[in-house]
Amino acid sequence: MVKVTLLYAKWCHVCPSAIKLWEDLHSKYDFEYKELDVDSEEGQDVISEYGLRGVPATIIDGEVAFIGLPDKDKAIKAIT
Amino acid sequence: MNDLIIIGGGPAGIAAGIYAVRYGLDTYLLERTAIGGQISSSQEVENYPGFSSINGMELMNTFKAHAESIGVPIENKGVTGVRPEDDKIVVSTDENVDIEAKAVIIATGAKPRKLGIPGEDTYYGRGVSYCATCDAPFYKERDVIVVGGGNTAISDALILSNVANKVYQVHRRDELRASKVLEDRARSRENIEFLWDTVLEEVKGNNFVESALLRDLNTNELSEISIEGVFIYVGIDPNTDLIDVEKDKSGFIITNEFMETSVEGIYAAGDCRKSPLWQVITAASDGAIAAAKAYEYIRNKG
Repeated sequence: MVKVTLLYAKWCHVCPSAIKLWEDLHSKYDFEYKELDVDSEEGQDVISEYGLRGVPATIIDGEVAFIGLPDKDKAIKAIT
Repeated sequence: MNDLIIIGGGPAGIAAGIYAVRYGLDTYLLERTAIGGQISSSQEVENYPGFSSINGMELMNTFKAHAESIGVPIENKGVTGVRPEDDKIVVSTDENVDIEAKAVIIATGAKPRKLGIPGEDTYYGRGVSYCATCDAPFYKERDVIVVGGGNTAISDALILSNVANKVYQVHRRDELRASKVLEDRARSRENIEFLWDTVLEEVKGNNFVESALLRDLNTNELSEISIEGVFIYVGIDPNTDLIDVEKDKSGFIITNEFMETSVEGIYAAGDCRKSPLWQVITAASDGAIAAAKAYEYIRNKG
């Protein structure tokens, strides 16, 4: 199953839209979904692992798929 | 059929919604994101009357709460096209649903303009950013450059200077367009260095940004500077691809003083419109005028 991880930050104004997008898709499509706060320990680990320098960041199956708010159609394509 | 559809939930769209509902129009506001408006990316807004200093996201939430409290229906939907048809305007949404209205207000705003230089797209999210509020915390104790000389550039250089080791402020002229208040603040920061008459030519790196190639416009000499972040603020590009009305060469919609576009029943307000000033206060003003004129138009149509 496709695994999607969304990294977000409390201070980021684009993040609520990215969260909404992925939560909506998660209710319609079948994939594993996880949200990670960049301020959490696990979030910090993911940032170092991928060398991320921006949020929201979407990691799909171990690859950085989107930085910023993903385009809905592209997001659907990436999980189907 | 709705009376009015407003596309965009930034200051222009929200103000239009508030006015329209108070005029008794059957109104529908469509916003693609959870929090609308470019201003929501500002850490501090200090020029909107009534708020001596407020976070941009908070200001937009206040706008939205006001609109919702008086019954402006705000739907989280993107719009893919707007077309006039006989006596109505048809708005296509990203869920392949068409909505019809007697009039439409385009308040789709704008997005940061790209420089269009090598490396800019390659390193987006890997060192290149257009939003310090979002990304500054990732540049703790790193060296960065900020490109631009307007209010947004200087505001974001100030945000970055709080976390970064060093901020190089790169500007193609020898003076800033930003307000004096912001300029004075930036000049008093020890870790902000101004590089005047200088342009960014290329962003370089491997996996991430490692350096920037700069050109001194006086001597035409190139130099490479080691940095890990590039923040770009060189103006805005309007979100107006979805509509076919008269626009200027940059794509900003041309309106008259009543916010009327070249197509009857279609109005434009805020940053998507050709305007001498793009601010929250002017966007809100545009929205109010557009709603008032749309009301007159709809009423006269009967």
